[in-house]
Amino acid sequence: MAVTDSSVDYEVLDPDVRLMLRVKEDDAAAFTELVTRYQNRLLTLLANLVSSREVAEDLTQDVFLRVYRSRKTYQPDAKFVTWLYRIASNVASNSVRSQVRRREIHLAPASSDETSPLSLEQLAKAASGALPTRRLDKSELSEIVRLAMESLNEQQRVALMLSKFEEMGYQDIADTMGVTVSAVKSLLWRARENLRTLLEPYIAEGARPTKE
Amino acid sequence: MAESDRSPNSSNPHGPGAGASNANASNGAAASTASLSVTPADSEAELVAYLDGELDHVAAQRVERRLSDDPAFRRRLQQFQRAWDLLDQLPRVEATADFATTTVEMVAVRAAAESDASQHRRRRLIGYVAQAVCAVAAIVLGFLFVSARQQAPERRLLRDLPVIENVDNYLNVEDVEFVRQLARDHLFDQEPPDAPAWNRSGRR
Repeated sequence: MAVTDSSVDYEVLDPDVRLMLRVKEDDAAAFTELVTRYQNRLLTLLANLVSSREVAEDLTQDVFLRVYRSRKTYQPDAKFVTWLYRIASNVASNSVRSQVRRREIHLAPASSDETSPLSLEQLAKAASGALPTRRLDKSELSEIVRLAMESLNEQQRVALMLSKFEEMGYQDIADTMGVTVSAVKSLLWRARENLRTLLEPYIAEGARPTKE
Repeated sequence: MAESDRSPNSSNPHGPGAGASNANASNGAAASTASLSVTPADSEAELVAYLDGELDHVAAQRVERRLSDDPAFRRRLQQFQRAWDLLDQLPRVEATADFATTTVEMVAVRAAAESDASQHRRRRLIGYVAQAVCAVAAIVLGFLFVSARQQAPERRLLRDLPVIENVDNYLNVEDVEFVRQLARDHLFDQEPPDAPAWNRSGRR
């Protein structure tokens, strides 16, 4: 369950809360400042959740639109970043769900070309040692990590991204995702266990499985 | 980003990974002193939380004891750490130079459009409410009018009741002015109840 501490004066502690309170008073400069401060962070989070920069840009703008729409009812009862990422998480979640629905309708056939992207199935085979390997370059490794992230469920990905890119502690992640700290601990363990399993062949050797 | 660079909301004074770096390899490792109630899954979840600097002092010590005694557990920690480090391969996205400007403009345009739409909806709602009030008022007035019209005959009858009760007598009157004169002379006044019989109605 999300926890907000009404005894903490976030207006005093958090400069971004003060900015948002100015946005509440229709201060356009304050809103522009918030966009500038958070655009890269939101883009990074959302691009890694939806695996598309173009979609991430649209979603980032959607997040800021929702921030602006909510300005009159905004209450500083949590850190600003917690409130902002709660909105971002919901926006990403809606997008992922609609992407899944579209993917179920339009399934593309798998390619057998060695230079084509790896599939999750091949990643899993490599993890089991069923495929021979060779050395990887940076872009290939990036692709493999991206694929491994796609193997996680949406909640695991969000928790992992908040932990890795936003360096949030468990309590902040819990507040952002609206779950308990215990649930966050479980999500992060499962996410990292799945990643560990899939990325094991690449951890020491930097190798890529060749397609059979 | 290395785990040790993080300073999360942690009460672990040892810092993440500190126990692992201090762990000593041992031949024929002794059994872990970890609590028997902690399942393997719990142990690994604790290991991840230890790496994240989220364990309290007691739990951190428990993990460190096991790390010092259990080579497999140490290998697992290293695998978790390396997989975590591989996440640095994920792209960090930077916005284009005009992203903030276009975002703010988009928000301003959309907010203005939504405000106009909201005002239009409010005006339409007021119109609907006014129409409904007028319709109700018309119905009520119509009901009252019809009701009044229907009750008018009964009210007239009620008003004429004294005449109706004596209509048989009035039918015998030929001159209304003569009857009015009799009334002015109090001949129609009620007699007192204790009046002698010879003085009552008969007027013998």
